[in-house]
Amino acid sequence: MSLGLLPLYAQQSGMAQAMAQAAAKGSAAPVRNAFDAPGSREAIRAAAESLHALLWVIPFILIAYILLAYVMIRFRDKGDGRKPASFHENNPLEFLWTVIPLIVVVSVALHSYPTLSFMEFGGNTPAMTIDVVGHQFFWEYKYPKYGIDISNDTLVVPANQVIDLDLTSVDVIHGFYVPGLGIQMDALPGRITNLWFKAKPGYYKGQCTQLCGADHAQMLISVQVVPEDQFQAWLARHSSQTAAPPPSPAAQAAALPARLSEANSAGRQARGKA
Amino acid sequence: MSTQVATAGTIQPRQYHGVLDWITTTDHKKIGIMYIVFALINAWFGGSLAGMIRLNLYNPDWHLFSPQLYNQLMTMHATIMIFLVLMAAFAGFGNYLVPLMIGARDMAFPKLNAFSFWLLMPAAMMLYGSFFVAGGAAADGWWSYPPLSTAQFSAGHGEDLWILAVLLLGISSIMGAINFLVTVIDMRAPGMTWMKLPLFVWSWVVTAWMLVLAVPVLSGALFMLLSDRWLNTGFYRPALGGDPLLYQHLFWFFGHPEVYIMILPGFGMISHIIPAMSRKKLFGYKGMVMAMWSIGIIGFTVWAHHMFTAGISSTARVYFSMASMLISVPTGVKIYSWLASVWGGVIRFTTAMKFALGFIFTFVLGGLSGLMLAVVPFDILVHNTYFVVAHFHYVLVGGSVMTLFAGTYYWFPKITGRMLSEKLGSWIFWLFFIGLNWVFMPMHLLGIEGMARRVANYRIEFRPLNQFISEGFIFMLAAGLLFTYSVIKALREPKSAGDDPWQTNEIETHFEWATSSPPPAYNFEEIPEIQ
Repeated sequence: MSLGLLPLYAQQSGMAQAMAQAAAKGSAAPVRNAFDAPGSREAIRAAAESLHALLWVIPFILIAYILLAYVMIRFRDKGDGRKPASFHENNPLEFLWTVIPLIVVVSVALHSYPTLSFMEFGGNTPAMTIDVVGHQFFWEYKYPKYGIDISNDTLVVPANQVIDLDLTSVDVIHGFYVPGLGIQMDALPGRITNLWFKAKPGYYKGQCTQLCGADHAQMLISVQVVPEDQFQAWLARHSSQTAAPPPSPAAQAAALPARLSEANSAGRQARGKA
Repeated sequence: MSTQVATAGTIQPRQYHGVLDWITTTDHKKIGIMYIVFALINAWFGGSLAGMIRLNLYNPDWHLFSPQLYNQLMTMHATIMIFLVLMAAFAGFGNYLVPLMIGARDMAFPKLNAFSFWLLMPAAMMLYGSFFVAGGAAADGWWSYPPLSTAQFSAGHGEDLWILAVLLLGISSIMGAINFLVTVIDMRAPGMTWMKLPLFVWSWVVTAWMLVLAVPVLSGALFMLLSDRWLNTGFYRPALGGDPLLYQHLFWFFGHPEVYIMILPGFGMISHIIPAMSRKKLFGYKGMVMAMWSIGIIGFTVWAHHMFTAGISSTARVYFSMASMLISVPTGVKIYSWLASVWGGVIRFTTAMKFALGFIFTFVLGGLSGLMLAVVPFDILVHNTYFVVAHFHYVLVGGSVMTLFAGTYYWFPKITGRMLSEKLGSWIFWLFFIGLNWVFMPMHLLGIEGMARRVANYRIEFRPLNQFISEGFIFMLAAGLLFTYSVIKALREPKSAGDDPWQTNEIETHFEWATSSPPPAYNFEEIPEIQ
């Protein structure tokens, strides 16, 4: 954007390089942190970049903190009978500390719009659309293109392709959140919401972020992003089976309490090995 | 016959004593005290719930509470802290101080005022009682989003009790707000023009307008929810052509102004305390008044930033992002004006001043994370995670609760005629200040790591931070215990505070410090006048 924010782009490209290097090293560990995710799609980096504009806010915060510390030391009552100052107005000063922050926050907001636009419309030509349906308390993934319908399972998608997700819910509102992919969108009954992502190979963890009932915390998400050939193999395995109907809610509910502890013990084992 | 009429005409209102006096009083000061005591008691309940939440999250392997019970604790923690603690405490200080500050003898409608307060009792009983009905208390968060809150998914009467309680609290707030507005518009002392109003009074004028405009929307939304639950209507039920998003819009049209309702009176308090303790007049009075109005007005135009991931349109995201950021401008004006008020002063580091300056430190952090959340691409990464939990606790604990502590230390001598111990006060400040940063700062990290909010259980990698956070809670608990002890201890001491213990009136005339401590019934022997 204008308003002197250009130097930030230089820093961003440096950051982008660092991230690319990190991605090149590769890592088998599950990606969980939204901000150091290797191989996550461009949108995460873009989101981080839109935050860079917030650096322009930091000086105002720092000024406030430095002033706070300064006045506390400089103007404390030392018992020397000093008389307090008597000023209580300064129109130019007040004008400045209204208008300058105004310009800065407006430019920060403007700065985030290209990113926002990219996050919303950057995935116009998806390689495939997957329907994501929220249930209490599991996710159902339908691949209309391949006639696959899986539930309570890992979402498997090919790497480096634009994947389009259409989300809805059959009962209450759920939130589809995979921080490592930089995506979050609610799944509402009676509505279809949409998001896209493009990811490098990896295993990405997420969970439901909209309180959906007793077992909300158990409503986990896992996304396996695989190279194209592995994806084709996965497709062949699943297409050969007749698409199983999703398990009954009662069966799902019975399987639930174990799920998070399984995930936790798996995590422990992974850390033990590392 | 005629004698009877004559006697009836001279009958004085009956004087009660002790408990009956408190129950029947219409004195704004006694009602104000009851609000504040009510808030303190509920802070213990709400705080205990917070303690249970932190205990449950200390170790995911413990499975201390069932997930359903955890959701109830979490929902009631929010409801109690918002409606029965923060709103009640600010209403209490407003009730006590606004008539005193404008030189009035009471509120405009004293009986309505008492009614507003006593409505809190059935509401509180319904909220606490709902734990004991079949199915337990409401368990779908204080937003109570449908369809989760509809009869299909929350069949128990806990949800109904919750809705009815919040409706009652809403009626109480609306009546209280109208009372404040009429009082300030109609009952100011001679010579007290609008631009001479003390800032705490101004803060309540803005707050009261916000209450009058926002709470009826919540009441409407909740009535529709109740109707969906019991009358088989379909306002929020997709199967009947309704839309759950409608509720979200209505709820947050109330819910966001509510945030400012819970902080503006605190701003007002700080604008009294900082000048008094810096021995200097407030800097930029006009700017402060304009900033509060700006916050009040813009505060009504930003609600959908709570819905950035709800599938609202791109245009709406663009607009609500920009509008939300604009609020930081008047907030910044207030921060800088407070700092300029201290500049050149002679600071007395009383406990009230420590809390006021500590408030500036923590509130600025809450504002910064708020600004980050207004950046939509960032918000999508941390929406409904612990980052948001950290943000609003910095605003409500680092903001509202800190101002309430400051206000309590500042006006306690006026209200009771006794001083709170400054020595204990210093301990309380440091325990609370360290505790709140200890507890809420790491939550930013948890959010960035991707831990969702409102979960009874979590993946093992979040455990170290969660345990660290739970340990910090002990500091806040200690501060709460010490504060309660300090209040009880002070109340047993003689009334020796004097009319103006902080020498406020040497700086600038404030009516509340011109009368005795505590003030007599009807406040002033003669209505004071401003020169």
